[in-house]
Amino acid sequence: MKSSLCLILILCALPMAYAERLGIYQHGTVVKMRMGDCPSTHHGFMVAMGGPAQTAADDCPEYTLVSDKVVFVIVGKFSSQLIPLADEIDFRFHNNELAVRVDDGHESKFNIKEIILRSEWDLIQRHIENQMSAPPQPTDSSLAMPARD
Amino acid sequence: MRILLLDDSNLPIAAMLSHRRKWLFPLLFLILPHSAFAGNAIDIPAATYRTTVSEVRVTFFVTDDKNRPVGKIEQDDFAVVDNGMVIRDFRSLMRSDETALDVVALVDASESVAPRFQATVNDVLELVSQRQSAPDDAISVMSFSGLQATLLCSDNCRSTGAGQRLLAAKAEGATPLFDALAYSADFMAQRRAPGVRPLLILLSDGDDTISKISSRDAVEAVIASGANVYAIDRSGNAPHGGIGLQRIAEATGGRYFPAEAHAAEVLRTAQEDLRASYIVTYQLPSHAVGFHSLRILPKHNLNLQFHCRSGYYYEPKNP
Repeated sequence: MKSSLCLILILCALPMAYAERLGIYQHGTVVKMRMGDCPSTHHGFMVAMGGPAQTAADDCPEYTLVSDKVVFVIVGKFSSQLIPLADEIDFRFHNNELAVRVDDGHESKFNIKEIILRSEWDLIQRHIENQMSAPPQPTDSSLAMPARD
Repeated sequence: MRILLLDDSNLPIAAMLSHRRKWLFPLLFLILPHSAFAGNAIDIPAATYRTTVSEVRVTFFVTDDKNRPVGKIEQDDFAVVDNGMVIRDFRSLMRSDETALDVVALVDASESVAPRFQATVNDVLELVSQRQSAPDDAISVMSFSGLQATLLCSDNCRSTGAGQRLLAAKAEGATPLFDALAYSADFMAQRRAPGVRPLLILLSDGDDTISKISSRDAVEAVIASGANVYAIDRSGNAPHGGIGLQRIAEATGGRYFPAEAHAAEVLRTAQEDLRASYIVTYQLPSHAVGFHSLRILPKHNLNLQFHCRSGYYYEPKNP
Protein backbone atom coordinates (compact mmCIF):
# COMPACT_ATOMS: atom_id res chain seq x y z
CA MET A 1 0.00 0.00 0.00
CA LYS A 2 2.76 2.38 1.02
CA SER A 3 4.85 1.56 -2.01
CA SER A 4 1.97 2.21 -4.40
CA LEU A 5 1.29 5.54 -2.68
CA CYS A 6 4.95 6.45 -3.10
CA LEU A 7 4.79 5.45 -6.76
CA ILE A 8 1.76 7.67 -7.34
CA LEU A 9 3.47 10.60 -5.64
CA ILE A 10 6.61 10.12 -7.72
CA LEU A 11 4.57 9.93 -10.93
CA CYS A 12 2.75 13.13 -10.01
CA ALA A 13 5.97 14.94 -9.21
CA LEU A 14 7.80 13.79 -12.35
CA PRO A 15 6.32 16.26 -14.88
CA MET A 16 7.22 19.23 -12.70
CA ALA A 17 10.69 17.90 -11.94
CA TYR A 18 11.29 17.37 -15.64
CA ALA A 19 9.92 20.78 -16.49
CA GLU A 20 12.34 22.39 -14.10
CA ARG A 21 15.34 20.26 -15.11
CA LEU A 22 14.75 20.70 -18.82
CA GLY A 23 14.42 24.44 -18.38
CA ILE A 24 10.92 24.47 -19.84
CA TYR A 25 9.81 27.21 -17.52
CA GLN A 26 9.74 30.70 -18.89
CA HIS A 27 9.95 33.69 -16.61
CA GLY A 28 7.77 36.76 -16.40
CA THR A 29 6.32 39.45 -14.18
CA VAL A 30 2.69 40.13 -13.37
CA VAL A 31 2.12 43.84 -13.96
CA LYS A 32 -1.67 44.02 -13.85
CA MET A 33 -4.38 42.13 -12.04
CA ARG A 34 -8.14 42.61 -12.03
CA MET A 35 -11.26 40.60 -11.32
CA GLY A 36 -13.24 39.80 -14.47
CA ASP A 37 -15.63 37.30 -15.93
CA CYS A 38 -14.92 33.65 -15.34
CA PRO A 39 -14.45 31.31 -18.29
CA SER A 40 -18.01 30.61 -19.47
CA THR A 41 -17.64 26.83 -19.72
CA HIS A 42 -18.10 26.49 -15.97
CA HIS A 43 -21.50 28.14 -16.00
CA GLY A 44 -22.89 27.15 -19.35
CA PHE A 45 -24.76 24.09 -18.17
CA MET A 46 -26.13 25.70 -15.01
CA VAL A 47 -27.27 28.80 -16.86
CA ALA A 48 -28.83 26.72 -19.65
CA MET A 49 -30.79 24.73 -17.07
CA GLY A 50 -32.00 27.93 -15.42
CA GLY A 51 -29.59 27.59 -12.51
CA PRO A 52 -28.03 30.44 -10.57
CA ALA A 53 -26.59 33.18 -12.72
CA GLN A 54 -23.03 34.35 -12.24
CA THR A 55 -22.59 36.74 -9.34
CA ALA A 56 -19.83 39.12 -8.30
CA ALA A 57 -18.44 36.39 -6.06
CA ASP A 58 -17.87 34.32 -9.20
CA ASP A 59 -15.47 36.88 -10.68
CA CYS A 60 -12.16 35.34 -11.62
CA PRO A 61 -8.71 36.92 -11.46
CA GLU A 62 -7.21 38.14 -14.72
CA TYR A 63 -3.47 38.71 -14.87
CA THR A 64 -1.23 40.49 -17.39
CA LEU A 65 2.00 38.53 -17.43
CA VAL A 66 4.96 40.17 -19.18
CA SER A 67 7.87 38.06 -20.42
CA ASP A 68 10.85 38.97 -22.63
CA LYS A 69 9.15 38.52 -25.98
CA VAL A 70 5.47 37.96 -25.28
CA VAL A 71 2.76 39.34 -23.01
CA PHE A 72 -0.01 37.01 -21.85
CA VAL A 73 -3.41 37.90 -20.46
CA ILE A 74 -4.51 34.87 -18.48
CA VAL A 75 -7.70 34.17 -16.55
CA GLY A 76 -8.19 31.95 -13.53
CA LYS A 77 -10.92 29.33 -13.40
CA PHE A 78 -12.31 30.30 -9.99
CA SER A 79 -12.36 33.43 -7.83
CA SER A 80 -9.63 32.45 -5.39
CA GLN A 81 -7.10 31.22 -7.97
CA LEU A 82 -4.23 33.51 -7.04
CA ILE A 83 -0.71 33.84 -8.36
CA PRO A 84 2.00 34.97 -5.97
CA LEU A 85 2.87 38.47 -7.17
CA ALA A 86 6.61 37.92 -6.88
CA ASP A 87 9.03 40.03 -8.92
CA GLU A 88 9.43 37.09 -11.28
CA ILE A 89 7.34 33.95 -11.70
CA ASP A 90 7.84 30.71 -13.64
CA PHE A 91 5.33 29.45 -16.18
CA ARG A 92 5.01 27.04 -19.10
CA PHE A 93 2.51 26.04 -21.76
CA HIS A 94 0.45 22.99 -20.98
CA ASN A 95 -2.41 21.79 -23.24
CA ASN A 96 -3.40 25.24 -24.48
CA GLU A 97 -3.24 26.58 -20.95
CA LEU A 98 -0.59 28.41 -19.01
CA ALA A 99 0.73 26.51 -16.00
CA VAL A 100 2.13 28.92 -13.42
CA ARG A 101 4.39 27.66 -10.65
CA VAL A 102 2.77 28.92 -7.44
CA ASP A 103 5.28 27.32 -5.05
CA ASP A 104 7.95 24.63 -5.11
CA GLY A 105 5.51 21.78 -5.36
CA HIS A 106 2.53 23.07 -7.30
CA GLU A 107 1.41 24.57 -10.56
CA SER A 108 -1.82 26.45 -11.18
CA LYS A 109 -3.36 26.34 -14.67
CA PHE A 110 -4.90 29.39 -16.31
CA ASN A 111 -6.87 29.98 -19.50
CA ILE A 112 -5.04 32.15 -22.02
CA LYS A 113 -7.19 35.10 -23.05
CA GLU A 114 -4.72 37.07 -25.15
CA ILE A 115 -1.18 36.79 -26.42
CA ILE A 116 0.52 40.00 -27.55
CA LEU A 117 4.04 40.58 -28.80
CA ARG A 118 6.05 42.44 -26.20
CA SER A 119 7.07 45.12 -28.71
CA GLU A 120 3.43 45.83 -29.58
CA TRP A 121 2.40 45.82 -25.94
CA ASP A 122 5.18 48.31 -25.11
CA LEU A 123 3.92 50.59 -27.88
CA ILE A 124 0.36 50.44 -26.53
CA GLN A 125 1.58 51.16 -22.99
CA ARG A 126 3.58 54.17 -24.17
CA HIS A 127 0.51 55.47 -25.97
CA ILE A 128 -1.60 55.04 -22.82
CA GLU A 129 1.04 56.77 -20.69
CA ASN A 130 1.15 59.70 -23.11
CA GLN A 131 -2.61 59.99 -22.96
CA MET A 132 -2.56 59.91 -19.16
CA SER A 133 0.19 62.52 -18.88
CA ALA A 134 -1.47 64.92 -21.33
CA PRO A 135 -2.98 68.04 -19.71
CA PRO A 136 -6.54 67.37 -18.61
CA GLN A 137 -9.22 68.64 -20.95
CA PRO A 138 -11.93 70.90 -19.52
CA THR A 139 -14.90 68.81 -18.56
CA ASP A 140 -18.54 69.44 -17.92
CA SER A 141 -18.65 70.35 -14.22
CA SER A 142 -22.02 68.66 -13.85
CA LEU A 143 -20.20 65.34 -14.30
CA ALA A 144 -17.60 66.03 -11.59
CA MET A 145 -17.55 63.57 -8.73
CA PRO A 146 -17.92 64.77 -5.16
CA ALA A 147 -14.78 64.73 -3.06
CA ARG A 148 -14.38 61.82 -0.69
CA ASP A 149 -11.94 61.03 2.07
CA MET B 1 -8.26 55.91 3.00
CA ARG B 2 -6.05 58.86 3.28
CA ILE B 3 -4.36 60.44 0.33
CA LEU B 4 -1.56 62.73 1.36
CA LEU B 5 -0.95 65.62 -0.92
CA LEU B 6 2.52 66.72 0.00
CA ASP B 7 3.81 70.18 -0.62
CA ASP B 8 6.85 70.07 -2.85
CA SER B 9 8.79 72.81 -1.08
CA ASN B 10 11.19 70.33 0.49
CA LEU B 11 11.80 68.32 -2.65
CA PRO B 12 14.70 68.76 -5.07
CA ILE B 13 13.83 70.75 -8.18
CA ALA B 14 14.40 67.74 -10.40
CA ALA B 15 11.73 65.89 -8.48
CA MET B 16 9.40 68.85 -8.60
CA LEU B 17 9.33 69.12 -12.35
CA SER B 18 7.58 66.44 -14.27
CA HIS B 19 8.77 65.50 -17.74
CA ARG B 20 6.01 67.69 -19.16
CA ARG B 21 7.61 70.71 -17.59
CA LYS B 22 11.11 70.19 -18.95
CA TRP B 23 10.46 72.96 -21.46
CA LEU B 24 10.52 75.35 -18.53
CA PHE B 25 14.31 75.14 -18.25
CA PRO B 26 15.09 76.68 -21.68
CA LEU B 27 12.25 79.14 -21.23
CA LEU B 28 13.65 80.29 -17.90
CA PHE B 29 17.11 80.51 -19.44
CA LEU B 30 15.69 82.99 -21.96
CA ILE B 31 13.57 84.95 -19.51
CA LEU B 32 15.83 85.25 -16.46
CA PRO B 33 18.58 87.52 -17.92
CA HIS B 34 15.99 90.00 -19.15
CA SER B 35 14.13 90.03 -15.90
CA ALA B 36 17.37 90.48 -13.94
CA PHE B 37 17.96 93.78 -15.71
CA ALA B 38 14.38 94.89 -15.71
CA GLY B 39 14.35 96.13 -12.12
CA ASN B 40 15.47 95.36 -8.59
CA ALA B 41 14.77 92.19 -6.63
CA ILE B 42 11.79 93.67 -4.82
CA ASP B 43 9.98 94.36 -8.07
CA ILE B 44 10.44 90.86 -9.38
CA PRO B 45 8.50 88.13 -7.66
CA ALA B 46 10.52 84.96 -7.09
CA ALA B 47 9.70 82.24 -9.57
CA THR B 48 7.70 79.50 -7.86
CA TYR B 49 6.32 76.26 -9.19
CA ARG B 50 3.26 74.78 -7.68
CA THR B 51 2.77 71.10 -8.11
CA THR B 52 1.78 68.24 -5.91
CA VAL B 53 3.22 64.83 -5.22
CA SER B 54 0.58 62.31 -4.24
CA GLU B 55 1.12 59.48 -1.84
CA VAL B 56 -1.26 56.70 -0.96
CA ARG B 57 -1.34 55.37 2.61
CA VAL B 58 -2.96 52.01 3.20
CA THR B 59 -3.52 50.53 6.64
CA PHE B 60 -3.71 46.74 6.72
CA PHE B 61 -3.21 43.65 8.81
CA VAL B 62 -2.37 40.11 7.80
CA THR B 63 -3.77 36.76 8.88
CA ASP B 64 -2.33 33.30 8.36
CA ASP B 65 -4.05 30.11 7.22
CA LYS B 66 -5.47 29.67 10.76
CA ASN B 67 -6.94 33.19 10.66
CA ARG B 68 -4.51 34.46 13.29
CA PRO B 69 -2.89 37.89 12.89
CA VAL B 70 0.70 37.83 11.63
CA GLY B 71 3.00 40.00 13.71
CA LYS B 72 5.94 40.54 11.36
CA ILE B 73 5.63 41.62 7.73
CA GLU B 74 8.37 42.75 5.33
CA GLN B 75 8.11 44.80 2.13
CA ASP B 76 8.97 41.71 0.08
CA ASP B 77 6.00 39.79 1.45
CA PHE B 78 3.31 41.57 -0.55
CA ALA B 79 2.30 43.68 -3.53
CA VAL B 80 -0.47 46.24 -3.74
CA VAL B 81 -2.92 46.12 -6.65
CA ASP B 82 -4.13 49.70 -7.14
CA ASN B 83 -6.77 50.04 -9.87
CA GLY B 84 -5.39 46.89 -11.46
CA MET B 85 -1.74 47.98 -11.44
CA VAL B 86 0.65 45.84 -9.44
CA ILE B 87 2.87 47.93 -7.17
CA ARG B 88 5.98 46.48 -5.57
CA ASP B 89 7.97 49.64 -4.91
CA PHE B 90 6.89 51.23 -1.67
CA ARG B 91 7.99 54.45 -0.07
CA SER B 92 7.64 53.08 3.43
CA LEU B 93 6.27 50.29 5.54
CA MET B 94 5.74 50.96 9.22
CA ARG B 95 3.67 49.90 12.18
CA SER B 96 0.31 51.59 12.41
CA ASP B 97 0.23 54.53 14.79
CA GLU B 98 -3.31 53.69 15.88
CA THR B 99 -3.37 52.42 19.45
CA ALA B 100 -7.02 52.54 20.51
CA LEU B 101 -10.45 51.69 19.16
CA ASP B 102 -13.62 53.73 18.96
CA VAL B 103 -16.16 50.91 19.00
CA VAL B 104 -19.76 51.07 17.86
CA ALA B 105 -21.84 47.93 18.39
CA LEU B 106 -24.59 48.11 15.76
CA VAL B 107 -27.41 45.74 16.72
CA ASP B 108 -30.05 44.50 14.29
CA ALA B 109 -33.36 44.77 16.20
CA SER B 110 -35.65 43.95 13.28
CA GLU B 111 -38.30 41.25 13.19
CA SER B 112 -36.16 38.88 11.14
CA VAL B 113 -33.69 38.35 14.00
CA ALA B 114 -36.36 38.01 16.72
CA PRO B 115 -35.61 34.34 17.54
CA ARG B 116 -31.98 35.20 18.33
CA PHE B 117 -32.43 38.75 19.61
CA GLN B 118 -32.28 38.04 23.34
CA ALA B 119 -28.99 36.19 22.93
CA THR B 120 -27.68 39.15 20.92
CA VAL B 121 -28.70 41.62 23.68
CA ASN B 122 -26.93 39.50 26.30
CA ASP B 123 -23.90 39.35 24.03
CA VAL B 124 -23.76 43.15 23.73
CA LEU B 125 -24.26 43.61 27.48
CA GLU B 126 -21.31 41.28 28.06
CA LEU B 127 -19.24 43.31 25.59
CA VAL B 128 -20.05 46.55 27.38
CA SER B 129 -19.41 45.10 30.84
CA GLN B 130 -15.96 43.85 29.76
CA ARG B 131 -14.88 47.33 28.80
CA GLN B 132 -12.23 47.28 31.54
CA SER B 133 -10.18 44.93 29.41
CA ALA B 134 -9.57 47.83 27.04
CA PRO B 135 -9.56 51.02 29.08
CA ASP B 136 -8.66 53.25 26.11
CA ASP B 137 -11.45 51.97 23.92
CA ALA B 138 -14.76 53.81 23.83
CA ILE B 139 -17.85 51.68 23.22
CA SER B 140 -21.16 53.02 21.91
CA VAL B 141 -24.27 50.97 21.13
CA MET B 142 -26.82 51.55 18.36
CA SER B 143 -29.78 49.50 17.27
CA PHE B 144 -31.79 49.60 14.06
CA SER B 145 -35.28 48.51 13.08
CA GLY B 146 -38.31 50.01 11.43
CA LEU B 147 -37.10 53.03 9.49
CA GLN B 148 -33.99 54.15 11.32
CA ALA B 149 -31.07 53.54 13.62
CA THR B 150 -31.09 54.72 17.23
CA LEU B 151 -28.14 55.60 19.42
CA LEU B 152 -28.73 53.77 22.72
CA CYS B 153 -25.62 54.95 24.50
CA SER B 154 -22.41 56.72 23.67
CA ASP B 155 -19.20 56.04 25.64
CA ASN B 156 -21.07 55.66 28.96
CA CYS B 157 -22.64 52.34 28.02
CA ARG B 158 -21.79 50.76 31.38
CA SER B 159 -24.37 52.91 33.12
CA THR B 160 -27.53 51.21 34.36
CA GLY B 161 -29.75 53.34 32.17
CA ALA B 162 -27.97 52.27 29.01
CA GLY B 163 -28.28 48.61 29.96
CA GLN B 164 -31.98 49.01 30.65
CA ARG B 165 -32.56 50.72 27.30
CA LEU B 166 -30.84 47.82 25.59
CA LEU B 167 -32.86 45.24 27.53
CA ALA B 168 -36.08 47.10 26.75
CA ALA B 169 -35.46 46.99 22.99
CA LYS B 170 -37.73 44.63 21.06
CA ALA B 171 -37.02 42.91 17.77
CA GLU B 172 -39.73 44.16 15.45
CA GLY B 173 -40.26 45.98 12.17
CA ALA B 174 -38.32 46.20 8.95
CA THR B 175 -34.52 46.10 8.53
CA PRO B 176 -32.82 49.36 7.45
CA LEU B 177 -29.35 47.78 7.53
CA PHE B 178 -27.69 49.97 4.88
CA ASP B 179 -29.16 53.20 6.27
CA ALA B 180 -27.95 52.17 9.72
CA LEU B 181 -24.45 51.49 8.40
CA ALA B 182 -24.32 54.97 6.85
CA TYR B 183 -25.70 56.50 10.06
CA SER B 184 -23.10 54.81 12.24
CA ALA B 185 -20.34 55.70 9.74
CA ASP B 186 -21.35 59.34 10.00
CA PHE B 187 -21.38 59.07 13.81
CA MET B 188 -17.86 57.63 13.84
CA ALA B 189 -16.53 60.09 11.27
CA GLN B 190 -17.58 62.98 13.51
CA ARG B 191 -15.68 61.46 16.44
CA ARG B 192 -12.55 60.67 14.46
CA ALA B 193 -9.40 61.29 16.50
CA PRO B 194 -5.71 60.73 15.71
CA GLY B 195 -4.40 57.35 16.79
CA VAL B 196 -7.90 55.92 17.22
CA ARG B 197 -9.36 53.41 14.78
CA PRO B 198 -13.14 53.37 14.32
CA LEU B 199 -14.51 49.83 14.67
CA LEU B 200 -18.04 48.80 13.80
CA ILE B 201 -19.16 45.52 15.36
CA LEU B 202 -22.24 44.63 13.35
CA LEU B 203 -24.62 42.02 14.76
CA SER B 204 -27.16 41.26 12.03
CA ASP B 205 -28.58 38.66 9.69
CA GLY B 206 -27.34 40.74 6.75
CA ASP B 207 -30.75 41.20 5.15
CA ASP B 208 -31.99 44.68 4.34
CA THR B 209 -35.68 45.29 3.65
CA ILE B 210 -36.28 49.03 3.64
CA SER B 211 -33.17 51.21 3.37
CA LYS B 212 -33.22 54.34 1.26
CA ILE B 213 -29.59 53.90 0.21
CA SER B 214 -27.91 51.00 -1.56
CA SER B 215 -25.42 48.55 -0.07
CA ARG B 216 -22.72 50.16 -2.22
CA ASP B 217 -23.43 53.62 -0.81
CA ALA B 218 -23.44 52.20 2.71
CA VAL B 219 -20.07 50.51 2.23
CA GLU B 220 -18.63 53.67 0.68
CA ALA B 221 -19.81 55.67 3.70
CA VAL B 222 -18.10 53.22 6.05
CA ILE B 223 -14.90 53.30 3.98
CA ALA B 224 -14.96 57.10 3.98
CA SER B 225 -15.30 57.11 7.78
CA GLY B 226 -12.16 54.97 8.09
CA ALA B 227 -14.01 52.25 10.03
CA ASN B 228 -13.55 48.51 9.76
CA VAL B 229 -16.66 46.35 9.97
CA TYR B 230 -16.37 43.20 12.09
CA ALA B 231 -19.61 41.44 11.25
CA ILE B 232 -21.19 38.73 13.42
CA ASP B 233 -23.65 36.65 11.44
CA ARG B 234 -27.05 36.33 13.14
CA SER B 235 -28.76 34.91 10.08
CA GLY B 236 -29.41 31.45 11.48
CA ASN B 237 -30.10 29.22 8.49
CA ALA B 238 -30.57 31.96 5.88
CA PRO B 239 -27.59 31.62 3.50
CA HIS B 240 -27.69 34.95 1.63
CA GLY B 241 -27.37 37.29 4.61
CA GLY B 242 -24.07 35.72 5.59
CA ILE B 243 -22.59 36.34 2.15
CA GLY B 244 -23.70 39.98 2.28
CA LEU B 245 -22.12 40.45 5.70
CA GLN B 246 -18.92 38.80 4.50
CA ARG B 247 -18.69 41.22 1.56
CA ILE B 248 -19.32 44.25 3.75
CA ALA B 249 -16.65 43.13 6.21
CA GLU B 250 -14.07 42.39 3.51
CA ALA B 251 -14.73 45.64 1.64
CA THR B 252 -14.00 47.69 4.75
CA GLY B 253 -10.86 45.75 5.72
CA GLY B 254 -12.60 43.97 8.58
CA ARG B 255 -13.60 40.41 9.34
CA TYR B 256 -16.63 38.15 9.23
CA PHE B 257 -17.58 35.86 12.12
CA PRO B 258 -20.12 33.01 12.20
CA ALA B 259 -23.10 33.01 14.55
CA GLU B 260 -21.27 31.30 17.43
CA ALA B 261 -18.86 34.21 17.87
CA HIS B 262 -19.39 36.51 20.86
CA ALA B 263 -19.03 40.27 20.58
CA ALA B 264 -16.45 40.38 23.40
CA GLU B 265 -14.27 37.83 21.56
CA VAL B 266 -14.64 39.84 18.36
CA LEU B 267 -13.45 42.95 20.19
CA ARG B 268 -10.40 41.07 21.48
CA THR B 269 -9.66 39.92 17.92
CA ALA B 270 -9.96 43.51 16.68
CA GLN B 271 -7.50 44.63 19.38
CA GLU B 272 -5.01 41.97 18.24
CA ASP B 273 -5.50 43.03 14.63
CA LEU B 274 -4.90 46.65 15.62
CA ARG B 275 -1.60 45.74 17.28
CA ALA B 276 -0.55 43.78 14.18
CA SER B 277 -1.47 46.57 11.75
CA TYR B 278 0.91 48.20 9.31
CA ILE B 279 0.81 51.25 7.08
CA VAL B 280 2.31 51.03 3.61
CA THR B 281 2.85 54.14 1.50
CA TYR B 282 3.51 54.40 -2.22
CA GLN B 283 3.34 56.93 -5.01
CA LEU B 284 -0.10 57.34 -6.53
CA PRO B 285 0.15 55.13 -9.64
CA SER B 286 -2.54 56.85 -11.67
CA HIS B 287 -4.08 60.27 -11.41
CA ALA B 288 -7.42 59.00 -12.59
CA VAL B 289 -10.00 60.97 -10.63
CA GLY B 290 -12.52 58.93 -8.67
CA PHE B 291 -12.53 55.55 -7.01
CA HIS B 292 -9.35 53.46 -7.03
CA SER B 293 -9.89 49.81 -6.19
CA LEU B 294 -7.37 48.33 -3.81
CA ARG B 295 -6.11 44.86 -2.90
CA ILE B 296 -3.03 43.59 -1.16
CA LEU B 297 -1.82 40.18 -2.29
CA PRO B 298 1.07 37.99 -1.21
CA LYS B 299 4.27 37.83 -3.26
CA HIS B 300 5.29 34.39 -2.04
CA ASN B 301 3.12 32.81 0.63
CA LEU B 302 -0.42 32.34 -0.67
CA ASN B 303 -1.59 31.32 2.82
CA LEU B 304 -1.33 34.93 3.95
CA GLN B 305 -4.47 37.01 3.71
CA PHE B 306 -4.15 40.77 3.70
CA HIS B 307 -7.04 42.80 5.11
CA CYS B 308 -7.47 46.35 3.89
CA ARG B 309 -10.31 48.47 2.61
CA SER B 310 -11.38 47.88 -0.96
CA GLY B 311 -10.48 51.28 -2.33
CA TYR B 312 -10.17 55.02 -1.96
CA TYR B 313 -11.22 58.18 -3.73
CA TYR B 314 -8.69 60.37 -5.41
CA GLU B 315 -9.37 63.94 -6.31
CA PRO B 316 -6.46 66.23 -7.16
CA LYS B 317 -5.77 69.17 -4.95
CA ASN B 318 -6.94 72.44 -6.47
CA PRO B 319 -4.09 74.73 -7.58
